[in-house]
Amino acid sequence: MARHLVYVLCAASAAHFALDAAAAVPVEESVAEVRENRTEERRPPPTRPFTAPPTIEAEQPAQGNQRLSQLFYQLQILQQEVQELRGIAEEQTYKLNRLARDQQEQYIDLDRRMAALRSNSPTPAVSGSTSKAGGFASTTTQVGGSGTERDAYTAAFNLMKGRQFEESATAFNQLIVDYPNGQYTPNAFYWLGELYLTNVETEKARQSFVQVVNLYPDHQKVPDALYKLGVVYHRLGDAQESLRYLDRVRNEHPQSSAAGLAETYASELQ
Amino acid sequence: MISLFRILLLSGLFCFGRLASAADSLDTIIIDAGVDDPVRIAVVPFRQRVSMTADGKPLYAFDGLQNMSDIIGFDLARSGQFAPLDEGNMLSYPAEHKEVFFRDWRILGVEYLVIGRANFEFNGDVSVSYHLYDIANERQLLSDRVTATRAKWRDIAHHISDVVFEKTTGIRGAFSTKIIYVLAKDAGSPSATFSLELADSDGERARTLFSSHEPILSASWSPDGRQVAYVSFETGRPAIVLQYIESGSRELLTQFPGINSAPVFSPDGRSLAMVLSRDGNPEIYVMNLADRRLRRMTRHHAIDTEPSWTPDGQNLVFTSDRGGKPQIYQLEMSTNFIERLTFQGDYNARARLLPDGRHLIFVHRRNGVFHIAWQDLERDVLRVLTQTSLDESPSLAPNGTMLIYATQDRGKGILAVVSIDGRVKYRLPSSSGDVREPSWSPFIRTLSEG
Amino acid sequence: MTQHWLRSFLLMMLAGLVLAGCTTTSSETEQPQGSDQAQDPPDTAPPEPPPVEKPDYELIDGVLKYRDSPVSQTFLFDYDRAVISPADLSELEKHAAYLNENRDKKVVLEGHCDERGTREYNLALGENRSNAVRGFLISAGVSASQIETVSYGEERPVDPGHSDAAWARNRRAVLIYR
Repeated sequence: MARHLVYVLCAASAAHFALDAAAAVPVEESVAEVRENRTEERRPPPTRPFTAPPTIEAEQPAQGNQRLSQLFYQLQILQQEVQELRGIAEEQTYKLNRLARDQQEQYIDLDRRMAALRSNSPTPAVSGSTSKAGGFASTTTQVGGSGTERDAYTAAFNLMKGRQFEESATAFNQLIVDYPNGQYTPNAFYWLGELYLTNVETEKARQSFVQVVNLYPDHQKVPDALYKLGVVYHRLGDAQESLRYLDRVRNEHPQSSAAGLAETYASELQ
Repeated sequence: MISLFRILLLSGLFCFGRLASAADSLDTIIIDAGVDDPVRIAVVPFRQRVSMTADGKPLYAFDGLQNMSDIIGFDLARSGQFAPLDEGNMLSYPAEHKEVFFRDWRILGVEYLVIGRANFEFNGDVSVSYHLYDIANERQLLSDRVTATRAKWRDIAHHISDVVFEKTTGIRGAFSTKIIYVLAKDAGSPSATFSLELADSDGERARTLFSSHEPILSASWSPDGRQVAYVSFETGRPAIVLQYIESGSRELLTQFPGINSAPVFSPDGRSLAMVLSRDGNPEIYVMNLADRRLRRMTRHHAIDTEPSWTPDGQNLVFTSDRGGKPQIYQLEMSTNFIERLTFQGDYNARARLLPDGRHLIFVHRRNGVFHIAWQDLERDVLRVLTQTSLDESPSLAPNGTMLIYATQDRGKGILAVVSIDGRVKYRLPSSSGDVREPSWSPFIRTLSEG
Repeated sequence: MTQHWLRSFLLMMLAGLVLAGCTTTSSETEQPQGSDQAQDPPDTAPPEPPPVEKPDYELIDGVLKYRDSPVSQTFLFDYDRAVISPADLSELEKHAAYLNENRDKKVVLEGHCDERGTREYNLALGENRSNAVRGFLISAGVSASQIETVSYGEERPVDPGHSDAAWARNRRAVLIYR
């Protein structure tokens, strides 16, 4: 059966070559010429390259007709199927390209984050935190004292509420160093972003919000962070990227309050 | 002759009282939505003076002419960007510069003020002088005078709307443009008639270009606004017809066996893209209008149709179901490189590009309902612009700010307009029958120079 | 039946199809006349039908009847598809048989769509529907000169309704004897 299908396919592609060849003749011609060609096509051409061998014609001509119409029908179905497959291929190529692009962006962000960590933290602290950041980190934070992490977070948060922005930023940064896999780490990144935004340190704000989105894609702060990235990119003068994030909030988190904010912000942008 | 609208229904503080009482037809422009914070403008009724003959009789009358301020105010209102002040709320009715007191308008919250006068000259021409003021800065922005024949009354008003719009928004106005659409009466019955109608962009002053008992579709303007190409079934099968708008003379361009469809002029007006199935199945061709030679552009056993040109004339975008479902593709004509442009949804068709070449509008099916959508080609963002259903045939205003499309309202074909940001919406129904297949004209000159 | 035989047979038939379907050439030269009756079921086609006996096929007022029962002349399609329904193949074979016997008879194939989707796309889709029927008839031996196609897209619905049932009725190709 599979072999038969191959023959039909070969023949189908041959049919297309022939169709194209026939159609390729009047590529550039006047209307009058085309009309002439049309009438000419109705006459049988002088030579016929594909005349069926007389033996088979003589044997079963009527069956031949029936088989031919069945083949025509099969060809139609195959064409339809090929079209659908083409559609799937087009869509998957598109998705792959998008994924590749997104992944590259994520990698660049990760790279920047690593660089920032290396340059910002004093060496002993880094080694200390990286050891915590290993496989035992989560147990450490949970067992070692979610209380202390919560205390650190509450303290940093209260500093922010008290409008001591610089101190608050330092506290949140320390929390991230001390509890890299902590329960409040995503929140710390988010509030850092807010603090930097207030302090017009837009690039730092961008990096903080990107951390929330990329490292904690399921976190509740993600819609807000996406919206803020829209704001950040707008301030950085990249309207294109700004709209992309605003659209992400609306598409990925349509129920969030950030979606409404993003909608308003995007409409003001345009 | 039908007129598509008479009444403006606009909710809110600022509204038009006078037009509502002027209703003498069932047809209505219905403004559904405008921008959240429209510009407040006051268009004072123009002072209309009648010249007298020596024995004291009026030389010409303004009878039957709508006050110019009504036409201008309505133009600005339907753009969705402006909320004209109701005439009844005005504190004074200045018609010339020395009568303007900025304080009167400031306390009404008005941002811009338009005043003017219309006089009949002795030869019967209308002469209109008008001024535009910026109230906050107490500045005259504009002062001009237009003279034209009485028949150009509405053209003068639309011209002033264009100038005011451009001066206040920075965007060229498109109120002086025209629309062509198809009016179908008794569609589906043996007595059905189809007519190709030409009207002002506000639906007024409609006139019939061609009528037939067989369907008409796909009207396309030439870039100079002098010709229209369309598909007519008058012979029982589809043919592409070229018609000169002024003279009405018609020419059969193509009538090959099979379909002859979707003609669209190239931006330079020298070529016409079209769909023919003379070589087996629907393919896209480009006809050089000078020598009528045809060039075949697509080659595929699937449907290829609905071509349109990129603004630079180098590429065609078209609908194809080569991927099993209708989607929009772009063909680079110099290389024959074909690229798919739409990936969201399972039905995207009849695309038109905005003048910037970066944005696409098209028919998009979402949850089984056909809407008009907008897509940013660079950022790959799609936005659905309409909430109506069975929407089709989007056609852009030449300034790229609005589009007109065909939709259904209670089973009846109507025209509707939506802004490119989706915020401004209005409808143009017709009591005469189903209206469909709208095509917005390019910028055209409606007033002769000088 | 050997693989070799089957292969050459299929290729040959497709080659014939290419010529018949793509160049719109009359296939009369290819198909020997008089062979068409063999398409009928063997027991109903006596080698030399007596003149008094009623023929299997009759065309009365534009309606083709096969042994007194009308042959379907409307063929419905799935949404956004131009592939003939398998259920219609036997009816189309009957039209082909009649047209093969009566070379002077001509048909018009109309393609139609439902109102959903854009008018121009539907015009093309209607064209592909009428072409699908045309291609089938030609591959069944009917001469291209006997067939005319015209697409009306969504312009001529048979049912003006807006329901699924109305749409289904409107997605059709109609075969009309001239």
